[in-house]
Amino acid sequence: MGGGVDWEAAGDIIDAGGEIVGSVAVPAGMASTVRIPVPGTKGLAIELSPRGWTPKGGTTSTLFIQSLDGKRQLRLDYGFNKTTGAVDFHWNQKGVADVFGKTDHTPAGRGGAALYRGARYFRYAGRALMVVGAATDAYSVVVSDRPFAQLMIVSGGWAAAWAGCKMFGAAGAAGGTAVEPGGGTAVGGIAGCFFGAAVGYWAGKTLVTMAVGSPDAERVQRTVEEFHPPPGFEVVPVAPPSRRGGTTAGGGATGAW
Amino acid sequence: MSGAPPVIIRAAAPDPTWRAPAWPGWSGAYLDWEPRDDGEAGLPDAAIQRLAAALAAAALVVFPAAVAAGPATAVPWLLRRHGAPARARVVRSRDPGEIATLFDQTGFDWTQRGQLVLLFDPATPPAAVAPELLFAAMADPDSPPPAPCAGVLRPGTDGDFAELLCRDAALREAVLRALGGAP
Repeated sequence: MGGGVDWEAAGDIIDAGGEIVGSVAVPAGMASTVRIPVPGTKGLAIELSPRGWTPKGGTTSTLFIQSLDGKRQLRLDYGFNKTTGAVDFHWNQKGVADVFGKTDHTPAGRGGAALYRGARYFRYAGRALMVVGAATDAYSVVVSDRPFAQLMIVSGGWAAAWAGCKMFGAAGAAGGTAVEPGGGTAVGGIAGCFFGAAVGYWAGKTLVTMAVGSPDAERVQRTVEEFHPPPGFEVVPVAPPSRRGGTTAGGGATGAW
Repeated sequence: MSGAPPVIIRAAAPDPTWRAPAWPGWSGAYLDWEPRDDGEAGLPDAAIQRLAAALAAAALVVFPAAVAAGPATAVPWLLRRHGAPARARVVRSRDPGEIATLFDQTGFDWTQRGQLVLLFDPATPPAAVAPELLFAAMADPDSPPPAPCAGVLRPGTDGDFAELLCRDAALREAVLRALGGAP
């Protein structure tokens, strides 16, 4: 990539792609659907859905820190607690007592109650927002005058959002575990994922925008168009373009972008 | 705890909020046990062994299991959308050792009520029990399974007790007798 970065142009491209909507919807969707790893736990991750079959009516738990096969799990539950003899919010665990220091049916208290409700609402709201984000980005591709480039931009944003969620979510989970194993793990992980996905989404779109606007990318584009010209274009052989720098290429094939 | 039997038979569910199904002609009982000493979810080993032995003595036991080896059956989409694996084994057994595994199956977690056990007359040929019968019962837990299914065993709240429902009163008595009592 030659010359300085035209941030204003990049910003215009990003804004035209629905960045404001995507910056909230995509991270929220990621945090509610991506499996957020918890470091140092031999494969446990934060999720908002159980692993395995549950009968019609679903599970009574809303927050899960579980292995991929669901055999090791810590889940936040509401219902009859055999240990206390009452209906309450409590942690159920299997195979992770040494990780979180909780036995099965440990009461979760008021903090657990708030976390339980928050997880339940976030699960549905986050998925709805993810659909909104996907629809917004799909729309930006359809209406763009450079749809292929825009597709690469939004794909880069989503890929980086996923990676950011995983990285920052894991860091947040580790930090949260240090504060309060279980509840803190979940809060830290989900918050970290949200932040990481937001940063990743913006950074991914920005970097891909810079890449698709580079002289190398435009040279590839022209080569492709010589073999498959877009409708309305006439390919006329010309001398190879001279290297004059800048973020947009000059000279070369006839026909406008 | 030292004097408590491995499995305790109760007429009512330990969970006061539990709603028993109203299936005409069916009778029920609740199987309870002491919590595990190690603070883990699930049944104590003694309760598992006693239950498995009682079920094996009284019935042909059918339940879904993870695919480790051997033949597997495609699971209907209706169950897969509720988290069931794409393929599963349908176990038909009277072996206590094999029946004991129903309490710890990957993809069918007893502690999250993710397991369902159908009971048939001991003389029923295993091949006569089609997988579709089990899957249909799993998809519609509010309705009684059709004949020749004679009984159902399913987890209670958090898998902390089991609900035994029997179309055949003789099967119910046989299971409870094998467990060492009757309510």
